[in-house]
Formats: sequence, structure tokens, C-alpha cells
Amino acid sequence: MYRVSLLLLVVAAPAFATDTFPATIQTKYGLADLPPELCALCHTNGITGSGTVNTPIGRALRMRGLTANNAASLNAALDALAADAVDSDNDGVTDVAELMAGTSPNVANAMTGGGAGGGTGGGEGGGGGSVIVIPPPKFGCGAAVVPELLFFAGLLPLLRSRRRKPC
Amino acid sequence: MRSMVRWFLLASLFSAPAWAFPWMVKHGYGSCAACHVDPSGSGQLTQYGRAQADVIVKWRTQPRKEDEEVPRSANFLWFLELPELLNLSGNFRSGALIRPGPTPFVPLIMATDLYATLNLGPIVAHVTTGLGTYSTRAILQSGPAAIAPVCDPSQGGGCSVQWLAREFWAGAKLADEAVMIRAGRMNIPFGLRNNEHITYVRSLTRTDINVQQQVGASVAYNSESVRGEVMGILGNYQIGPDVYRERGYSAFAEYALSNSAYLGLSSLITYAGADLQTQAPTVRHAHGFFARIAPNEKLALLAEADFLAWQSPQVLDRIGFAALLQADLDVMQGLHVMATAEAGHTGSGEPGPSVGGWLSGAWYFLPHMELRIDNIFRRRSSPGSSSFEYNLLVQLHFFL
Repeated sequence: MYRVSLLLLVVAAPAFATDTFPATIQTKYGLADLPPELCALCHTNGITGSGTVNTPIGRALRMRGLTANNAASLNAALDALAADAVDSDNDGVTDVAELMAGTSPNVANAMTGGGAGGGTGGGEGGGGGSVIVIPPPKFGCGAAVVPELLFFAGLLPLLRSRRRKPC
Repeated sequence: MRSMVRWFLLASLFSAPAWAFPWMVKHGYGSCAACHVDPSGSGQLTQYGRAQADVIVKWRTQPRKEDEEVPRSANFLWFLELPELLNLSGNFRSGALIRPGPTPFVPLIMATDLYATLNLGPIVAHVTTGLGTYSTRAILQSGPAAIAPVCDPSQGGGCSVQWLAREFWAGAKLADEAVMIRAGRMNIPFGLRNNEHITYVRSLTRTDINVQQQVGASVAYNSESVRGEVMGILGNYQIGPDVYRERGYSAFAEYALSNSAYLGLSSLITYAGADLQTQAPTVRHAHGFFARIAPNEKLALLAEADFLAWQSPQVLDRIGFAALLQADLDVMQGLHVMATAEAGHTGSGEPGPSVGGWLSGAWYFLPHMELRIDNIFRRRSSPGSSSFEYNLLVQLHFFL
């Protein structure tokens, strides 16, 4: 029963990422190391799968002919990206330049351009790239237990006061 | 863990929910508050709602007699009459997705929720809890409503079983129950609160009643001619880190043009330091209207159209839209046929909108039970390409 239940609940999640793409980028730009969260460069939240290439640079590459399982299409799309001087995060540094510098082309540096809040990049001074600093999201209240605890704690006085009343 | 899973599965077999039925407008129910614990509809039913589910929703071959009493099967667990203080119920939905392709059959457990509501005079406290999974294939996306264990999809694959809490809130009814003030985790007040949570109007606005609840505070108002709710959104605290939490407001107001025609407006603006889709700082807008019209007692027409915009802190990044038109026909009481047309555009450079058509049937064959079939045809549009897909969704739903 237990095993059957888990089998029903858990749907296998095969990967749909093209395994050769990271190596293609590394080779093309002569990168010494691959960024630790390279999947998140193109796949939203780093979750690979059909329909998940939705980050700004991912969309820009798709618009320039990127298709799955086709390293040649990635090469061509990157060339087109460079020719168009695409700057997906509008931080003044092109996507290709950010790739070569090891910074994120998806997230603008909060220090550049005087942008209003919400930036998460590091670095100082104008024109710099942005460092990949946004950790991927986690699901589950390990992120924050406080509101849940406050809620359930808040119910206790209600129940206690109810008990005191005569029926 | 094993006994916990067994307990939940056992409990879910005898539990039931309550879902959202915007088509109740055809029976003269413009407001949701009489039948649902949530003043804006969906989720757990009140005792009155349970009775109405048996009287109006359940399949009948003979018309109901005026003096016929509500059967005991309308009660919790089909027989148990609960005190007014305590309202227990639940929601169990399971089914299968059948489609052409490499995985033609996908078993689904969509909901195994238990609901509990305490009614302490004007004070109401409501909690839901259940099990679900997070899947990177977006089939069983319960992650945003999960409490434990923490799932980190970036580490590959999906999570196993997670404990969920979609809603937990406490509130007070004021002004002869016309006003309800609530705080906690609750559904987003926006647009039609329809069951089909994957429709573009729900998914692109992120206002579905499956997993898009947020923590916040709200004020709801219900009267004969006007209903509405305004919610200040503090974020989904079951997603972390904080940079991903959307904060802002969401609101709707609906006006009764007549006993059978309702017109509403919705508005939502949120800000997140990193959008879950793009990871960029984003102000997200959704503004639109919705309508519910019942030309007669057999037919309900539901419509919604929303303007969407995604704004970086300094520039308007994308604009799009989502729209839905649904006709719900009672072939006979308890047997519904629905035809739905929908469209959505994310402004991401796709050549045109994604469009879809649903042909569905729902049979409320026994008290608290529904068998539903959806034929879903969709042409998905994405930059540089478009694809056609067909899914047959079969669901069995136990509910109160």
C-alpha cells in the first residue's frame, strides 16, 4: 500500500536539458570553469525540462534559433546574440560579455544605472557586470516557519477562552 | 512516516471538499459566502453549502419535491452531523492524464486535503492540510503550498511527498456577516475562481486556487448587489529565499446587474526582487474584468479577460493578456457539459497568443462525488515555434 501510494504520488521527472550545451558555451568562450548554476542561465530556476528555457537570455537565444539537442543552433544563436549586442538585463553589458566575464546576463547589477530596488548583484561602479548571487528557490516552509507558527500560536488563546465559557 | 501516509490516504478516502462553482449563478447564487467558508468562494463548504450541494448539485433523475428534506448524506462523512462550532471536510481528487507521446498515461493525485474550520461566534479560523509532490514536469506542482520537507528543485529531479498547507487563516465577521476581515494564508482575490487552475487566466495571473495562495490580510464584503475583496499580499512564506516573494495587493469587485448577470473588475500589482520565472526584479500587473451570466436555469456563461504587464524596476519589459470564455450547460441536474475557449500571451516574443479549447463533462453521480472528463486542445506559442497538444484529463473527485 505504502509503495503503491508513493508510486502514484511521485511522477518521475526526466531531464530534458541538452547535456552538451554547457560544454559548448565553455569551449566557445574559453571559460576555465563552468558557473555552478549554469542550468539557471537559460532554464528558469535551473529546472531543466521542456518549456523551461524562459530566462531573459534563454528567451533571447530561442528567438535566435536555439533548439534543443542541437549544439550548432546554440553556436549560431550565440553568434547572433553577439551581433545584435543583446543586453537582456539592461545593465550596459552585453549578454556575451557577461558570459565571458562569468557574470549573469539575466540579473542587472543593482549598482549600475541607479536602478530602483530589488537588485541582488554585487560589485560597485557603473558598467560592471553582475555576479550570480540569487540562490534558486526552495519550496517548503524551511524558508520561513515564523508566519505558520504565529498563526497556530494565535489560535491557542481562542481555544482556551472558548473552553472557559459555560456550555 | 509510513503510518502517516496511511493515515492521510485513509482520511482522504472519507474526506471531501468543496470546490469553486462560478456556474452556481444559474441557480441564483451570485454571492459565494453563504455556501463557502471563504467569503469569496472555493474550498470548504459551510453546513448550508453542504445541503445545497446535495439539493442543487447532485445528479437527479427526478425533480426534487418542495417538502423533501435534505438527506443525512449531505453531512460530513455522508452521515455525521457536526456541531456549529466545528466544520470538518476535505478534498480528494485523483485521476489520470492521457495523451499522445512518450508518456501516454500519467497517474495524478491532485489533492488530498483535510479542512477544518472553527466557528467561535464572529471569529473564524480555517486550516487545510494534505499531501502533494513537487515535480519539475509541472504536473503536480504542489511545492508552493508545501510546508515540509523543503524541496530544492535546482538539485535535480522533483521532491518526493510533501506536507502541504494551502490555507490557514483567522478572521472576524462584522456588520451582520457582510464584512469579513482575515489574516493568514489564503486564496488571491482575483477574477473568476474557477476549478480549471491551469487555464491561462489563472496560471498567467498566478491566482489559481491550487497552489497560488499567499500570506496577507484582507477585507471582504458581500451584499445582495455587490461583493468584493481587497488583500494586501505579504508573500508566500513557503517559498524561499525572501527575494522570490511577491508583495503588493490584489482585489476584485463584482456588481449584480440583475439576479442572473454579474460584472466584476480585478486588479493585482506585486513586486518581487526575483521573479520565479525570470529571476529578474519584477513588478507584475494583472488588471481585467470578468462576468457571469445565466440566460436560463440550464446555462451559465463565464468570461474573463485580463491585461498583463511585467515591469523591470525602470522599464516596461513585457505586456500580454489572458482570456477565457466558458459555457456550462446542465444537461440534467448533476450532469454538466462545458465548452471553454481560452487564449494567453506572455509578451515574450512569441509570434501570437497561445490558444486552447476545452470540451468537458462533469457528473455529480453520488453525494459528494464527481467524475470529470476534460478534453484539452492547445496550441502553445513560443518564440520561433508553436506546437499543438492534446490531453485527456480524467478525474474522480470526492467532496462535501
